[in-house]
Amino acid sequence: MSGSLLSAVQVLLVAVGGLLLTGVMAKVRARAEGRVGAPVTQPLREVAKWLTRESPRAGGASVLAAVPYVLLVTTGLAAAVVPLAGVVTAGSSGADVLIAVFLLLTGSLALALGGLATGTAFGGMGASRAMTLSALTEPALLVGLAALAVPQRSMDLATILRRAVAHPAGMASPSHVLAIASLLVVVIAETGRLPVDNPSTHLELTMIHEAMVLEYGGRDWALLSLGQAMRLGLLFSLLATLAVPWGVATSGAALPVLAGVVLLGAKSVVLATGVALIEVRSAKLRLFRVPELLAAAFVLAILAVVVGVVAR
Amino acid sequence: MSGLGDGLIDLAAVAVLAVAVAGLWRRDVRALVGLLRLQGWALALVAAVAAVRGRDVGLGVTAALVLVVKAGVVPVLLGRVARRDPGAREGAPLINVPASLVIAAALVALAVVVGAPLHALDPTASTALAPLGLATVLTGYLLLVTRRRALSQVVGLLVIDNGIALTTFLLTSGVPLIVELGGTLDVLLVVVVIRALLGTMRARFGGIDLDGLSELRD
Amino acid sequence: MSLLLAGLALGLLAIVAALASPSRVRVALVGTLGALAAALVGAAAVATLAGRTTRTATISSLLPFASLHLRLDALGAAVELVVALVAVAAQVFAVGYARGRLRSRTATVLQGLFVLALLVVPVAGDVTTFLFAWELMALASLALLLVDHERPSARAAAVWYGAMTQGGAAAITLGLLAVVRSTHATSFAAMAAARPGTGALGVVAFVLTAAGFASKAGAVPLHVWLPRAHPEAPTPVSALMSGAMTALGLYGVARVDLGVLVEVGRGWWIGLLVVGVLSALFGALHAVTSTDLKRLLAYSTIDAMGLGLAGLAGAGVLRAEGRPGVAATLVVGVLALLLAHGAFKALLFLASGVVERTTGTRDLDRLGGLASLLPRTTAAVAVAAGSAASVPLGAGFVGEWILVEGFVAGLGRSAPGGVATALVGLVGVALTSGLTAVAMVKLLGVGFLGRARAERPASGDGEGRATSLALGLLALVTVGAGVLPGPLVAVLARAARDVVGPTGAGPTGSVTSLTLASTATALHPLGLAGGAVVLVGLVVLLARGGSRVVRATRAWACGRSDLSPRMQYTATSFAEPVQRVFADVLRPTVDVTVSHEEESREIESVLAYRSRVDDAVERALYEPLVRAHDALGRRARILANGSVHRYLAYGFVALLIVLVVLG
Repeated sequence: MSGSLLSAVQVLLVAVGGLLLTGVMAKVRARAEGRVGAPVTQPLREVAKWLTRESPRAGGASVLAAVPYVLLVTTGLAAAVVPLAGVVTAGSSGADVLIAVFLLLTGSLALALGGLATGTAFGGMGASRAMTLSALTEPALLVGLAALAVPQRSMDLATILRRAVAHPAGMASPSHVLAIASLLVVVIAETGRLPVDNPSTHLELTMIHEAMVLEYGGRDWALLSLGQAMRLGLLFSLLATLAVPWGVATSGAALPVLAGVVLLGAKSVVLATGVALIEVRSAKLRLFRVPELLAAAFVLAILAVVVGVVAR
Repeated sequence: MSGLGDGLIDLAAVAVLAVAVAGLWRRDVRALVGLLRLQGWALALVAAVAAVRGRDVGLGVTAALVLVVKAGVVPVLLGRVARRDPGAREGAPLINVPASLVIAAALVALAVVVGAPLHALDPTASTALAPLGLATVLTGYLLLVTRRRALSQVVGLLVIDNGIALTTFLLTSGVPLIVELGGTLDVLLVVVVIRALLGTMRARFGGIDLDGLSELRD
Repeated sequence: MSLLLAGLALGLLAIVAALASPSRVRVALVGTLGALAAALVGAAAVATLAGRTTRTATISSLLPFASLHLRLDALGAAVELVVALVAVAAQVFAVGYARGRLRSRTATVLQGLFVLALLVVPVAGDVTTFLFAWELMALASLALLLVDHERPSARAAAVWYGAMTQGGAAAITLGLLAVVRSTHATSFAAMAAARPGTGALGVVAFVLTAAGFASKAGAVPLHVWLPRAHPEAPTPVSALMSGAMTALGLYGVARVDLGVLVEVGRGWWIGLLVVGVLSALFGALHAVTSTDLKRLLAYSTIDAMGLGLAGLAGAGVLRAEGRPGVAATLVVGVLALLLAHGAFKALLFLASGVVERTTGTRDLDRLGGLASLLPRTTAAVAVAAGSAASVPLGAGFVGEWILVEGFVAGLGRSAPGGVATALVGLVGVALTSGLTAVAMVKLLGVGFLGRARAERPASGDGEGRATSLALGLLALVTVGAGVLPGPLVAVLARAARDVVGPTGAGPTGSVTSLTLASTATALHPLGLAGGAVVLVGLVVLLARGGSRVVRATRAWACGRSDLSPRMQYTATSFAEPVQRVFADVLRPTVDVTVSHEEESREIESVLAYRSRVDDAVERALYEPLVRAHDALGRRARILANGSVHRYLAYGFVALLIVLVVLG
């Protein structure tokens, strides 16, 4: 299987998988709270339904129309570049850690600009809060990723994964554990889950992410929610792959790649279930307590780097 | 065994430091006591692994002592004090939580730079970890300096002590039993005295917030 | 070399033309000549970078007592490229933009002189030429700041700028003299070859030159002039100051401190790194909270230059740790950052001039909805803001990427000192880049998107042909350098080798890729662009599968129908969460005034909320200094009480003292 074919598979996987993971998390939450909950495929069906509806567009129409495209293209590009199911190209693949980070950041910028373009109070509020949190998340994210990269002596994700698979003992090292813990907080913040943001709230005092996307409807909303689901799918599967790199295909043959895909799905579902259980057990933090959480994640990341340097 | 032992010591030493940092993050005084218990366990694990590896009975006894005193008696005593005023929280630390966490990160980096020569003296795997002990001491100091409640400050003091103990375990694979015994008993004494003191304070002033002590009273 | 000399001669010709030509054609003639001159110099820089040759020339008849030594090597050419690019854009822009006093003979001559001085600094081959050009640059820009001398804010800015820039120039002069003293050479090439020692003289030279150059680059705490001078200067001059002149500050650090004072101890570099990181954070935070468009840009310049300073200082530390490859990577990152910053910051400053001309204000709290009024400017600003926020395939991303990779490479395999240095640098870059993104979203989202917050004219007549051409040129460079960074980095790596010496593992680039050996990673921008095109096609296909009906509606806004533009988030409210999180650093003054109805204390009639973020460094450091200076001056008045006899007596006493001392 060639590199570009695998990329295409990964984009598809992240798109469908992201929607399914959203469904899984809703299901887990429902079950934990004693409800039956909607079927896991519900988000998929909803996107398909909204796609056929007309799009109402208010002020800033051209920006509102463009935002879902930017979000989908940047997230899709990140999903194509990053190795998730397999590392099949030899040598440096261009799958740099920072490319993925900054592609995702571009999606956040587009969402925030969309929020401001509507010219409503809510859009600006959401954009302001989301950008503040994203600025505070970035140090933890970059330092946490650096902690994973330094022991493998590469910032290329493909190389990192290949070397991690070859030396599985590194996964139990304190540096790795701390870095993954810090990245987990980052992923929770970036995907807007509890305790940072509540994806199902529409209360103005607590909304962060939802406030930016209030003005989308119909087809625009379908594309936008697909983009958000892809973002979630990408972040979860990337974290799962980095945490436990077992099963990542290192050759292009069909069987290992298939195994890699299946294992990737399993790891991501486990992670999503875990995050959903955290959500059930935690209340939303006050907005100005979130920086404390992110600072804690940042310190974990610094500890990860330092411990990695000390204990090597 | 050696690989597993190294891994365990690594994890436990990092846990001691991570718990100290978590102490800066939590505001709930009772959570702090819980963290202290956790730190005691991790410290005992470091000593125990070092004892097994060095086949050192004295160190084994020290490990047991650490477990009993630092993970058992001390947290229980402090827990009783904490339970007297339930819901006691660190209101506003002198330096806010994100800032103190960032400072802690800087202190950890400083400890690594300053502690590097220790490793150069005796380059083994466990001396390489010694800066973590130093970092724990510094973090404990930060806790001691920035918290307002007397109980949080006691926790800071005990974190410093744990950091010193961690450094000695890692650097020398344990001090003579008698020295450790003395140190541990000192800590116990301090806790008992402070507990009595806090009880008196509460009886006199109705609280243990140290800012209330800035002026003399009859 | 002939290209360079031709360019500089054309620059001189432009000044002569400004003196001689009638006012009708002056601006167009001078602008065209100046742009051509800068373009020729830029071409010379490209030729030098591509041809791997260093060229030198001596002009002996131009100045009395001294001759000008010009030397164009790879490092100089890399910086010259930035200066030339900004100069071309600013001159073209000025043709369409200059009105009123900016068209006067004095202003055009000064602008020509400023551009010429900027172009000479990077090619100065010896200390005399360098200091001459440096001083000319400082004085010309100071005079340009006073073109609008009626405004008190411009006069105040000029006082600050004059004091700081002359202090900086004095420090640089003394520092360079110390280098000359210890190397017995006056040309930079001979100085670098002589390798001055580590003695006290070397440290003095390092501290003085680093402080002087860093103040030009707006490093904290020597930055106070920058957020005053850059916004108050006429727009093309702001762009030149911010895009090109600050870059020359970093050029000075690279040329003298990194290139000549090789043996200076690691500790001094670590100090400079901390200064750089603090400047970056300080600038980024103030950029987020500023509401004046140009002030925001000025603070964001401090932030970018702080990162550059941190990168150069990191290179100094890691070279001393024996990691020349990583040091070269960092230097290349800084040079790429300078080029990207020159392009996007000049663009943003020029665009802010268009905005001010159109709306009559620079206050972001009163702007908004400019996208429909100034579509071309908005598009250009979007490109520049994206580049500043490190969006991939923008020029800014390339610089930031290389810088971060350099610091991460410093984390591995270094001694603990190197690790701590790299960690500080990495954290600084990460936090700064996040905050810069906030500032840029604010600039674009609040200023240009949304709805207009105040009355304004119906047409965008500030958006002329020449101005749009200048913006378009800069936007093109921004995207071009982002999509094809390989060749650029390949030549910048040559410049880095000039600075840090021969290295094995610096960055390499080809047309399709950019490879960093120190972290075993690569960037394939063309591949990314291709992938993006394919994905756009896929999304369009998906979207066409759905409904294509679009209905124009009013905004829903949770059901509020009486939505006025004043209900939008303003620049101040957008920045409020950041301001609150970093309140300990920014120390904002916030007051809420409540006035009550006359009948009852319970009913409030007016609630006013004011929040103001002043420069905390200025307040804590400079105000006492200025006050002490004032007091000293008042005391000194006793010496001069107006009595002629006393003044004559001073002269007599002075004569006696001289006699005694000499005798």
